[in-house]
Amino acid sequence: MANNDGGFGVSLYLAVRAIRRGNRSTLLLTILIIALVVVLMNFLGMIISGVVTLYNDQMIDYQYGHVTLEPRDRQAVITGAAGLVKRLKQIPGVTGVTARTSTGVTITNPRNGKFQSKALTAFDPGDEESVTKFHLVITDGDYLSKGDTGQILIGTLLAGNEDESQDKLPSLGGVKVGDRVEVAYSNGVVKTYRVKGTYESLGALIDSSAFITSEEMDSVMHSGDTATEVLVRGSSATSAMELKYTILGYGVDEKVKTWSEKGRGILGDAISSLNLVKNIMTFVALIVASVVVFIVTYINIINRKKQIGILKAIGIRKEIIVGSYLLQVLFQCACGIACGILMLNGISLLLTTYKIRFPMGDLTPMIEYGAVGTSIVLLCLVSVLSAYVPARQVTNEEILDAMRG
Amino acid sequence: MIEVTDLKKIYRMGSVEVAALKGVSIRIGRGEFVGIMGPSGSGKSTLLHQLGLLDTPSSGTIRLDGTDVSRLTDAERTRFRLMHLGYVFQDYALVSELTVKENVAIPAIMQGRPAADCYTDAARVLENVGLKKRLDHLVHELSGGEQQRVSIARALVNRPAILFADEPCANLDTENSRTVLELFRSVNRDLGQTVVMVSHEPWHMEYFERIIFIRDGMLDEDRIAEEGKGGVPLA
Repeated sequence: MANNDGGFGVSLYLAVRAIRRGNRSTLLLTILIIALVVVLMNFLGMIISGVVTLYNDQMIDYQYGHVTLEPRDRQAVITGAAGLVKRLKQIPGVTGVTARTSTGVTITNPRNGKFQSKALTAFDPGDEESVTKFHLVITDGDYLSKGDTGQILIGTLLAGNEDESQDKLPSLGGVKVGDRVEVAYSNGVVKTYRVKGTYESLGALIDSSAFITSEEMDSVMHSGDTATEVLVRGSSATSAMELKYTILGYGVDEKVKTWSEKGRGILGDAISSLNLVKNIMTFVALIVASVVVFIVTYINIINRKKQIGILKAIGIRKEIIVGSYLLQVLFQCACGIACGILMLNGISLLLTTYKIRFPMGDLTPMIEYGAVGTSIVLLCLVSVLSAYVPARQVTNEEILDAMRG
Repeated sequence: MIEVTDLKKIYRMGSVEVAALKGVSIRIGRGEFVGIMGPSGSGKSTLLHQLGLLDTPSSGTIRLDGTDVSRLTDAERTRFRLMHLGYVFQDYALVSELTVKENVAIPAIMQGRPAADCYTDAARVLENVGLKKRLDHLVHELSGGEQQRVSIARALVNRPAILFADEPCANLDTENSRTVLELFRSVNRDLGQTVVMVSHEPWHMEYFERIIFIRDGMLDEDRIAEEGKGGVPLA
């Protein structure tokens, strides 16, 4: 017997009319639920991406640049730092280089006797500006200038507040620009510095640090032409690995690491844990979606059982009837997904305007459209499967049983 | 046209078996308007359902237009219903989300014909049943009589070999019932359409060319001989 019937066209024909003339409130409710599932599946991912981006930006802009050079194995410092900086500046793709020297110190606020043990870092302010952004986040006073001696730049968290209850981290109890602090070096030298400026990057670790110029460090520690690390800035974060190999290609003997290699261990575990939570949430959301779609489709199909019987009786193949229900579900999914993406963007906009503050700064949510795409595919698959089961079940019933409702 | 031999239908309700048809053999010729009558529970609707391929008999054979439909697969039966049979049900059995025209056109669309042709045919058939002005109405906007006329139009749109009607007037008043019966008579006489209709209303008998009486799942031979208008079913 020839089979030249309408097939997909009839499924579409029935589906379009069922959507246009069916129960509007059920349709809207289903779309809303699917939209909320899309939000649920992607919200945590959006926050995690925001955290990761924020953390990465903090690492690049204040801690590591795009590439960091460290002393070779069994070496405490990089020797010939000035020459190295000069060579690095000539490498194509390098936009800034700064040599840093760090040493452990104890900083004391003589007014209240509060002290903190910290790593004091020295740099050439001009070079540092080409790599990091401290000069852009000065909250009071001034950034360091080349040749500054007897002056120190302090993070706001380290400076702290006179009212200890306002401090987020142990501090010096309210140091302000112009105040004096005492710095005790490991070689026994104790020197008083004037606070030239305070900065606030919003990163907790970064804002509890202190900086002086290389000349000042050299005058106390006689560090000479050495550095504990050299930071390099390239054209973009994503090309850091390429930059690393370019630098290695120029015969640099020091250990060369990208910002992501440097930062991997610190937040990596936390990100892994958050991603696990995100995957669990996605799984739960998918189950919720499949159960909801199953229930809605099942009720819908049970209510239309008689009509399914009628359609079968007049010669419509059950595959076509099932197809019409699947198309209806796909339509609901498409609308729900579109609404969900709009909601996600709305939430993202809201959280960008009213920022969430994290220990490393203000978070800007980042919608990962790759992950959203995956969740859409999964949601569609689950929904279609959830609709197929009851639709197939009812269309497999005997015609007369179905027509009795 | 229709040849039924020793048709039996047994329903199983748990461990109890109920014989709805106990070996019915009939023959209906092309172009006949045949009524199947009998008291409630006699098996007349069950017989119609077997003839119309809406149900599967427990045993026996049915030949429709020369095809032994007992041997068809489920998909082939669906196809056969679409291509060769038309149905009118007691409760109209229309699709509520389709307009009058769409309800009538859907079996034609299902045959794979262009939608425009199907709508033209649907409009023509609806005009014939007196619903020209109701084409774009939804079925719930129509009276019971009008809905049944839509159902008849749907059954006729594919020009079926056989039109089956299962108590099509059961939910209609006398006036609407007459309209429906006149329609059946008209398509039977004017188009030579074979019509097989189940009814339990005695006054419907005047419309039938021949009547098959059923009682307790078997042919009521005495009544057929007495009131069956001379047509003797195949034994």
